[in-house]
Amino acid sequence: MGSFKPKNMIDVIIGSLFFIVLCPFYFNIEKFVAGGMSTVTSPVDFPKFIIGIVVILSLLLMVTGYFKKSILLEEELEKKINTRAMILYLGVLIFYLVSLNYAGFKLSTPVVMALSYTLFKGKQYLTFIPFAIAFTFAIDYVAFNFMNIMLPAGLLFE
Amino acid sequence: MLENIISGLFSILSPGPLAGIALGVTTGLVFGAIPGISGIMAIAILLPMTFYVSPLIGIPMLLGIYKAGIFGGSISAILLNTPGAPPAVCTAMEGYPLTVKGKAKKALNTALTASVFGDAFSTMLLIFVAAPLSVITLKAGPSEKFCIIILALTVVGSISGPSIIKGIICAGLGIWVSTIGVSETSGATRFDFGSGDLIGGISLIPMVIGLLCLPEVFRQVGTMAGGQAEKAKLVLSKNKDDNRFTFKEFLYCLPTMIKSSCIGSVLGALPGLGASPSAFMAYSEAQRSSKKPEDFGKGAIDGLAAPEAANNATTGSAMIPMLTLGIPGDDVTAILMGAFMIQGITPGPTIFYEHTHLIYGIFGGLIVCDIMLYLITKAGFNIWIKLAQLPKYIIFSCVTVFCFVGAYSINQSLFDILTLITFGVAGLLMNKYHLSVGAFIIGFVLGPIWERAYDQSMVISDGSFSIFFTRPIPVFFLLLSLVAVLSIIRTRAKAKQRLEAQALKT
Repeated sequence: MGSFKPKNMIDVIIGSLFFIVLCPFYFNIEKFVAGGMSTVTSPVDFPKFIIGIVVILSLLLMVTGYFKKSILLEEELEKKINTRAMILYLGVLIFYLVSLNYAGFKLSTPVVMALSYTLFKGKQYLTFIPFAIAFTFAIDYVAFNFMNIMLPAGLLFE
Repeated sequence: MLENIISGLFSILSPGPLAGIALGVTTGLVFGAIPGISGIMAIAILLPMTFYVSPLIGIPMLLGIYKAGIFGGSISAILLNTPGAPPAVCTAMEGYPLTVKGKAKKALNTALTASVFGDAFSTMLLIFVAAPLSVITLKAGPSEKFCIIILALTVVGSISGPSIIKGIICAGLGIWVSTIGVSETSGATRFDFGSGDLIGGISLIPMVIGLLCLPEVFRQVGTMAGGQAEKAKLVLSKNKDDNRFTFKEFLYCLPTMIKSSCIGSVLGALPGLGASPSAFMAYSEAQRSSKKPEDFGKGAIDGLAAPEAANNATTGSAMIPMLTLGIPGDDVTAILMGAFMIQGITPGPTIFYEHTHLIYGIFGGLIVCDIMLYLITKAGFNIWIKLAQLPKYIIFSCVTVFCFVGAYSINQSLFDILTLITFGVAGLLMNKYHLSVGAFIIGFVLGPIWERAYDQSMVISDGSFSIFFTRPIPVFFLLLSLVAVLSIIRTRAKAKQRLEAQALKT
């Protein structure tokens, strides 16, 4: 007897994940809709129809994952990616979001640019930091004077 | 008619209108080229300026921004793989691989030629067949629109990567995400999960920047820190033919450009549709009918020319319902309509009789816009290329800031930045597991139009689905969708066979 090992484990996992999350959502979709006036169509009809299709296709993805091998280029699998650096970059983005709220655009942007510069293995800080400051002020000036956009000033400075 | 066109053309050839168009084209190119900052923002900002100048200067200036803004989005798509506007997604798919091969100038030249071709095509259409075509497009009711969207959605089959099922799942999720917030027809609040910020829905711009730009920055960080640091400088091939769009290539792309211009012009004239569905549909059609469909996704010039010609071909025809019927087809034409009204001119059927000289002056302005777009972009090619030649640590540090500013500027809300980061991570995971980001975006863009058409059709038919099968135009589009699906399945099967044969050989 041959083993029943899926030929494409990733598709089986993705299909299962979508199915597990979306199937209960499909049957309880009315709970996530509030208010609205009554018309010929219910506000739930269209999204429910779409989610229904996605649920069926998730099931199909799981089934095909068992029997069909994925065509992936070998070079793609061989690519060496530093996940730690990517997580650090995500940390920089979250830091930017929080610091924009508290310290504002002018203060947080040069810091974030310097952090990104470090992640990209830049080494000439003496030239980059003045550039980052000038760039920040230029963007702020253009946004405010030409586009009428007030970039965040920061809760600490308001 | 010819006399009016000539008279209008001459009226635009004075210093004021020409300077206005040049300013508009340059502004549109700059705004379009920066990821996250689109031409529509430039139109909105410069709109008050039109109040202080004559309509013959102000309106062509806005049209210059409109046309150049659409092409500008392709510059960053080709050079940085970061589309400045949603219609440039397909451009990035074919343009960036050419840049990686050292053929950035060829990609830019191809995109520019196709854009100007599409622009000129739709301008001619606007001038000569505006009134008859608008009579036909006016007949497109909700059921017709519903079926047209089905046809537009068949493009998912072409861009969904290795698995068509995953592509349709992504498009479905995109459509579902577009339903978050207040329902247009009933006013019900949907899927806000108790968050006040979600009531307004998910904004397109932060989502698109998040899905398309941030994963690229993540990838760059990952590969550079993973010891695979790529050379920051953009490598340009020394072969002369790699840096230009040759006449032979022009002839090869000509049928695709004509077909794509027709798609863009027809969809552009239909209110509510526009550049994004046109670009996706033209790309799909180009792949389906290409002599080399296996080159798609790897830098196919016909694949690059198709969305460029189509999205620019919407600019002229989008004005057809606005000028002849007073119906703004999309957000840009709504702003342009505002510009007319600032001047005391109400767009509608009477405009051709009451303001004949001005209208044909504006038509002349559209032709001048095309010429200026070609000349100014050509003159600035080295500036765009130098911009992309900056070291990666500078480019991507700046791109991070541009992404944040672009996402923030639409609603000036930090929630949009949270949306940006969330979709940035989602885009990264989607790329990793071969879930199509393009299909998701198509679903998101077409979702609200599709739902609106569905709701309106149901109201008209009193809840009966027969409305989609008993009228000739919806049936025609449904049959066309079926043909498109069958054709895509056949193309994919052929491509698979070819890949398997290649694998056996090697």
